[in-house]
Amino acid sequence: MMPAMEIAAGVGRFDLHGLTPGMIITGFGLLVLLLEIFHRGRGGRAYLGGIAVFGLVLGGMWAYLLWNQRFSWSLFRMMAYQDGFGQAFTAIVVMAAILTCLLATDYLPRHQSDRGEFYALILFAVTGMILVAVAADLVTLFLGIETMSLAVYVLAGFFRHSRHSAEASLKYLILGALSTAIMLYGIALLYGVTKTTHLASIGQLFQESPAICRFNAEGFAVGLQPLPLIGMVMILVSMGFKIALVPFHMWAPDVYDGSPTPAAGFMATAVKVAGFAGLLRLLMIAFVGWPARISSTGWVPILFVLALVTIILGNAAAIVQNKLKRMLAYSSIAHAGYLLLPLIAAGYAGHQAFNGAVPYYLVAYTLATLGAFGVLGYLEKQDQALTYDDLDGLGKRHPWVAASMTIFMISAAGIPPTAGFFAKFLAFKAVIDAAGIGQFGGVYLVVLAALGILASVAGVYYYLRVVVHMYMREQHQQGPSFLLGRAAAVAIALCAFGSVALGILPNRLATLSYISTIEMADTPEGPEAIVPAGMARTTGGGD
Amino acid sequence: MSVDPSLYLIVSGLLFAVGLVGVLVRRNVLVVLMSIEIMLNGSNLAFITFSRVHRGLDGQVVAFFVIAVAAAEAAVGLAIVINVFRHFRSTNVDELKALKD
Repeated sequence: MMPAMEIAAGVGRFDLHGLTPGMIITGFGLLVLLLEIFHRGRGGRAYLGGIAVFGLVLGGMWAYLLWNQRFSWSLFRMMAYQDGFGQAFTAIVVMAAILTCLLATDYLPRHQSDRGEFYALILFAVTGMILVAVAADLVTLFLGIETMSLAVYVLAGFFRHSRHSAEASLKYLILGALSTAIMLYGIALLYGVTKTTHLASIGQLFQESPAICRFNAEGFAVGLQPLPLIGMVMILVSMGFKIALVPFHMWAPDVYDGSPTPAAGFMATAVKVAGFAGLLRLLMIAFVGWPARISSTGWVPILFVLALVTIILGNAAAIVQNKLKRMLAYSSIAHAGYLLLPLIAAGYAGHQAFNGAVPYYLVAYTLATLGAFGVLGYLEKQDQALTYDDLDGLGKRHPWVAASMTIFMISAAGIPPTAGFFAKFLAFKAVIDAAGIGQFGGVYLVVLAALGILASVAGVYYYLRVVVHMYMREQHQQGPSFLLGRAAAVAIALCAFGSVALGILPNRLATLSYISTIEMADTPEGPEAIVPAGMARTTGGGD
Repeated sequence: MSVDPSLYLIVSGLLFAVGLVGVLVRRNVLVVLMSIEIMLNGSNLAFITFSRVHRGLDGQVVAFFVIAVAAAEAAVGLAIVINVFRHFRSTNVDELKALKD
């Protein structure tokens, strides 16, 4: 712990400075809501989407400026961090939100739901996600997740005229609220054992405290005490719900199926990005002790099993789907499994195993998945689920849309030269490297990687099935007669361009991902150890 | 005169368990939402008890946050239930079968 220098009362300038991206985006959310009230006349509400995009761009640029300062400090007495990791995940979430807003300006008017609240809700959800990404305290993490979730429940039910949408929002609400309650009890247990809710303080105790670790006769920590173990598992279960890991995934296909398509894309990407940001913070700062990681009661074995089941069942279930949105839902579940691999590697072999796979994977995944949802949103007719047959002959009818969809599917399947290939490559490489670095049991990691690669080869089947239907089947029913809106076309083109560009030139993003991950993880006590002079704070509370 | 804090913890655990069983067993959406509130309040009790044991205020502050969050969740939740009732004329979760494989 750093020495107590001064107790500054109230809110400092630097506290607010670190949260500026979130505040800009909240402000624009309120502005959009206000303008919606004063909206008169018959004109569409696309301009509200434009304002939302403008706010998001502003917030994202501010996050980039903060990151460029290359300074980490803690905000509000270690309630949040200002560090490269938080700003990088802010940028990814903002990217997903911008693409969603662009898609929605085209999609909502066609489904008689052209209301400005959609954009406001997206902005509020992004605010919550930013809080998750910068969280330095379990309370901040909890509040961020709740802010995000409440907005997203409403987005799922945004089509008030649709039974499917209503049912989706209710299912999401019940399971989401349940997972919140489970997480909260886990936080309460951890607080009871550790006297603190700061991630970094918990992390220190996880390495040395006898209240947390069981020690054997020689004084080696061999496992966790029951209470912190239960608390940790409850928090992991709750995060598993949010990022849809098997067996906590059953809501995902129903919710994505029933929600408005851009909202479903937003849930599949941005919510998952925020979930992984929170999970990384938790696992790399709070649950860092060796017994917490590697013992039979640690999180590495738990995540190992979860990753294996998620990858295999996610891919298997996606293969048998006939509806495209459900296929994408199961594919996103499988991707969550691949995303766990670098975490397991880092838990197993320590920070050496970090290669920036998680942010890179999330960017590649976001571009491919949001693009695919965008294309589906364009093809969708009123309240009717798309199947593979609806894609027949798309290559002739809409060559550009079909080409983009092909890129998204190839990227999601992990075939070069797309971003998805390098994402999967980095994820599997992290595991293989960790197997070499770690001291024992590396063979399990090799088995995990091998099974993961096999499952991802099986996954190629359902991705390429989309391509086959688009190019090799004759159209036997009437496709959509409307044109692709300009904003949505821009969004889909950006996704396609990004997927290809990052596949051909992956270096820059891979470097940025690597830097952002180690900027959080490389400092053992967490980023507050490198507080700039004059801004030091006491650690407050707890002790 | 004070009561042993472990008793409060047992009550909080019981509240959480009752809530969890309620979510899993009951079929009426309103009762399910109430059960979730019970779970949240079980956590609140645990936070406040631990706060007292540790002689700090952190836990009590968290409890206030949770109360606020629970209120927001109830507001959104009831709006969603009303929307569902308009479509399905029912608040029974077993009758929500529009979305299936």
